[in-house]
Amino acid sequence: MRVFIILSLISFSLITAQTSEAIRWEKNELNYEIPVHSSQKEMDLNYKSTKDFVIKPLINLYWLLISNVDGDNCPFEPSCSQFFIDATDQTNFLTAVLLFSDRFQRDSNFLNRLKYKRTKNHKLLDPIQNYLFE
Amino acid sequence: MNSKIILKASFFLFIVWNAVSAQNLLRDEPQNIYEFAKHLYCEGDYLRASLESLRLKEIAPPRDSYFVAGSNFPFEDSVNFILGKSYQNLSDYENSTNYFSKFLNSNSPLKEVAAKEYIKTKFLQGDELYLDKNFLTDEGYHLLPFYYAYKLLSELKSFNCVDPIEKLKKVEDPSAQLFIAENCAKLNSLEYKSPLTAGIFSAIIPGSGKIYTHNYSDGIISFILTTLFGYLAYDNFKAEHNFRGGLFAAVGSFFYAGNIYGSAISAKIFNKDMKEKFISGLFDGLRKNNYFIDEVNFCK
Repeated sequence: MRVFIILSLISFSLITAQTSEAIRWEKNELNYEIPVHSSQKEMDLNYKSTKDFVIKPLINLYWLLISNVDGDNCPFEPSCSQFFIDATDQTNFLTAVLLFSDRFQRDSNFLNRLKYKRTKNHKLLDPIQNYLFE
Repeated sequence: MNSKIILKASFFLFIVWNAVSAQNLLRDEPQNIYEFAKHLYCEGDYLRASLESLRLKEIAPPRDSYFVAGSNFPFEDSVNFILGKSYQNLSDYENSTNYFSKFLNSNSPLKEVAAKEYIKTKFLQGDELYLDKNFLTDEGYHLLPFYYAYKLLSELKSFNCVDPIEKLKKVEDPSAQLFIAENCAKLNSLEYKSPLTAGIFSAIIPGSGKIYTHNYSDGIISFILTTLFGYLAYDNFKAEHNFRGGLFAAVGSFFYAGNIYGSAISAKIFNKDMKEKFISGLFDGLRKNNYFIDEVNFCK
């Protein structure tokens, strides 16, 4: 009886170990396509304040004419449109436009990549806070 | 048969209970808590070192004459010093000064080092360094040269160094004098960029403001974009394509204005980076010189 119990315990553990190994090493279908996260941005037509009536059409126009055409190629994080939204939140409209223009020109420069820190998504970290001075 | 099993089980339980209770007793021994806190401090685990030291203070009330085995300093002093240093390393300067201030009017052998650590913590805290009333005792006056050194370091930290030669005479330590003089010269040789000049440069030649702030590639790109759209606008107006000309002029103006503002911001970023590099060099040098304080080595 004792021998039987010991043998069943050993065989049970061996079988379960085998099963988990078999699952771990089973054939897997590979997919080499790079997942696309957000190539198309959806228009935001939800206007709540006067500021929204000024800024959101500009953002939507930028997405329609530039961002969506360009695809997921913006090297920066936050993206240029988000940078503009953050700039309008933290400064006035005119300063936000000037900061956005400066950012847009830096976006076109392929030689300045080393001066930015990289995010985990390999984007260049360039938040609006870097450009706000008292 | 049953009594034999009970006897065996009791014997086994007795041994296990003995071993476990012995462990508990050892764990709560002040000597062992002190050794553990010291070990944590030496390993750089300052949070747990401070927690263990506080536990030790609760378990063993202060007794001036009590020396912990293996320590050259009285028990209370060693624990307060470890607490002060741990809080200092955790950037909790309020608690750190609190523990170091306990040494100021005492007879502790650690008094001088602790007073220097107290000044260092005040310096790190960022407040303007002032002569504390605790130093205005007769025996505290020999710390004045050290205090003056930190007063100058505090000024350097605030990017201020005017007429250092007279002030340096009060600092007696030659290595501190040299260090402060070198950093003062470094601070005064920093060449700041004017945001106004950068803006004016970019207004005259697009991108030149960025080049002035050492952002060469950004400057060249801005120059190309602005002149390209300017030329396109000019060419289209010349050919009487007024709508296209207006469109290119609007985009060119957008880049032109953005570049002027961006150049001014770029000058500010340049100045900020330069200040950060100076501060980083200052603190690297201070760490290298152990902040001009003799090290109390608990970790040997």
